[in-house]
Amino acid sequence: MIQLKNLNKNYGQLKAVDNLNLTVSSGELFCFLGPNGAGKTTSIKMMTGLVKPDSGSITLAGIDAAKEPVKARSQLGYIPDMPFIYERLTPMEFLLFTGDLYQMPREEVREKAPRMLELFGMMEKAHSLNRDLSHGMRQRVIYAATLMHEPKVMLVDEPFIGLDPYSIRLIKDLLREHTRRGMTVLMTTHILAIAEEIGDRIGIIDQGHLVACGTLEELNRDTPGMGKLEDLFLELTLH
Amino acid sequence: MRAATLLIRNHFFELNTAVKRLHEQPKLKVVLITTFSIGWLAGLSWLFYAGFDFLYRLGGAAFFLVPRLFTLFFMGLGFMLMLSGAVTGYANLFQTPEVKRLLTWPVPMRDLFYYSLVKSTLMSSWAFFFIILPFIGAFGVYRQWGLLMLGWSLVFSIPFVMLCSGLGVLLMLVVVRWIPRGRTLALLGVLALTFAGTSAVRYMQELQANQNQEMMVLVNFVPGLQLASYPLMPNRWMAQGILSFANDDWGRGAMYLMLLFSSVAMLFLFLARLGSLIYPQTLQRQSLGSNTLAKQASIPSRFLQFVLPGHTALRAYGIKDALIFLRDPSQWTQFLIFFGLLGLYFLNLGSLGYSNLDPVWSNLIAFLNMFSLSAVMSSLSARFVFPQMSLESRTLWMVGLAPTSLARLMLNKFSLAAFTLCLVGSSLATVSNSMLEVETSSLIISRVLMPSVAFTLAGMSTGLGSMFMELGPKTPAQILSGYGGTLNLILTLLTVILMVLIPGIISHMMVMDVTFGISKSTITFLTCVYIICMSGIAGGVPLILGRRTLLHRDF
Repeated sequence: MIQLKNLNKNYGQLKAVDNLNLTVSSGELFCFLGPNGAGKTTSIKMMTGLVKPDSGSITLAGIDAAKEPVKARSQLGYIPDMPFIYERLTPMEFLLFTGDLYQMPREEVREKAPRMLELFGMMEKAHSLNRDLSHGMRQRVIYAATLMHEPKVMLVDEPFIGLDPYSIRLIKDLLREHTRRGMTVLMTTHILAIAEEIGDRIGIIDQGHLVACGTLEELNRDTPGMGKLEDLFLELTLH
Repeated sequence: MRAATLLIRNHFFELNTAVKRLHEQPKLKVVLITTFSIGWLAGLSWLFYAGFDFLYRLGGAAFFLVPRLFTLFFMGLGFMLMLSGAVTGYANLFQTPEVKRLLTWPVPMRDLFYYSLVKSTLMSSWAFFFIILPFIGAFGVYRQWGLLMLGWSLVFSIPFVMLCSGLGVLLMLVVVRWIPRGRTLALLGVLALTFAGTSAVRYMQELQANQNQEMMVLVNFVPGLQLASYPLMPNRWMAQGILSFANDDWGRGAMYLMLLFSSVAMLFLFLARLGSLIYPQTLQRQSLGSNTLAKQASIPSRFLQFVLPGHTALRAYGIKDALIFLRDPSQWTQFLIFFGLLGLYFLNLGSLGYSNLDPVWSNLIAFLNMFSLSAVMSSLSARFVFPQMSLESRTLWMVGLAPTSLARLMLNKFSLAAFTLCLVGSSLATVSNSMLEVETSSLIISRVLMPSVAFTLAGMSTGLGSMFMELGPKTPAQILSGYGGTLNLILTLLTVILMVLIPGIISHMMVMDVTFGISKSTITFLTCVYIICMSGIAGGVPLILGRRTLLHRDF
């Protein structure tokens, strides 16, 4: 579960996140929408601990991120929009590295790494250098690495940039499957059709404010006359 | 060559813009770099001047020794330029993203090669003028040359620098294109090249066998002099040309100058032709080669997984950093070149008979060796250790979220750097000391000094690297050229000077029995205390400050 209470972050005069309150339940896939510079990435980075909030509290999987940051992070998986992976490592080595980093037992890492690569259809490329992989293949390696330690909360920033239809399908199915198993997923995307398709609930943020939040039906009910999410999004965020 | 000219011109525009926008740079950074550059040039000029002064005070021997010194100096520079040309050429021709981008543009392959060649030559050679200038300048001032004479000497440097750097690129190109891929074949190739090189040196030695008696005596004391004096070596043309001008033998000087220029023209024509013929296939071969490497690399990977013990996060970083290092030729070649050359030199100290010297001299040489070793460690820690935390910022999406703090990551980086530097530094210092058979007190100081220098350098570079951590996809060169990188380079060099110089002076005085009534064991103990305290402060404070920065900043 993710719980954000009165979260604020200012960069000088700019209010990047302004009194954000949000709860995402276990087993829920929440789509976080907003125009560029609305505060989505800053909010996610505050949840990861990479950016410190000016005020407010963050609870991840029942753990206060300010009081027990290391414990909170151990429950978290994060995939940014343009993730970097070590180019001179192989996918297998990268997964072993991740396992060690998350202090998983060595036997478990050795058993799990090939299984994850197999799951993502990457076993054939397990010993090729990451730099020789395509963007889609790298994304799969990243997902495999992120899911290695079985996080309870997953934050995904723009997961579908530059992916082929096969990889998009793979990631959509994967996110659905993991939420069914109880994982909490918060995902940002600019592809509104995907948010409509897979999001259990949708939140729209603009200039640091959460301007709308609910299921697609609830959003339609609250703003009558807006047939599609695209219309609603433009209506709420166009200034 | 229109495209090549355009691309080269582009870089000059960039340089011009950078110069014009110099006032936008932090003032402290500009002042630091300018002061350091002037200090470097002045200091080196003074050293060379003092050297020439010493030689000319010897009397008639100077007229015999100075030309040999010139050939030897330029041969050393020439080899370093060749190595620099080979490494820079490899990076520019096969590794930069720019090449991949230009391949998609309508740039003819010949232009692309020629552009990369010129870029490599310029990049690999400009810094050498910071050594050539003080050398020629000091000699010119000593011999009371006019400015015109100094100018002429510098004109010589241009074709020489281009020639050596171009030879480095040629060598690299041949190796990359024709060295076989298979391990056995590659080994045979390397053996064949070594055999060819050794045969060439022997051939030159035989040709030189009938030289005069003074030369025969001198080559026994100065290794490499025979090779340096070979008439077909460009360093000899350079040395002879400058000295001919200095002795008013303008005709002979002009002949050597033209010889250098015509050789450069010939080499570059040949390189351009060869490059247009083999560059596309070599590029292809390189991209195919990386897949082969990945399959083979499971052996070091498995080996490291097996042997590295300890805390799992530390182990993870250890394996990861070691594998990345081993798979990046631009990294390990620099390590190999610098430490390999020093190692060869130290191992040869015994055969040079330095251990038979007066203890005062052997002790002095031992500390000079430790200073050069520390200086190399300092520049390598600035190059490799300082950018580590900034480079790791790209992986904060995973590393920053791992259940371990960033301060821990910094300490991991520090431990690995300190261990590596300590291992290499202490081993090479031990070789040098045992070859020179130094006294016990110097041996004790050395055994404390090298690990302390390693601790200090690793601490400063990791700590300052964390304090001045740059976020985003930046290359090591971009990170190093920032304010933090410059500050780190200067501070590490100054600290190394303080750490090695003072114990060196104390040890020198002890060998000369100037102890002011204090026992040698007490002086040795106090010197070790000084080294440890200095190391603790210089290495520890940046680590504490770096940790504090990491705990409080946003990413």
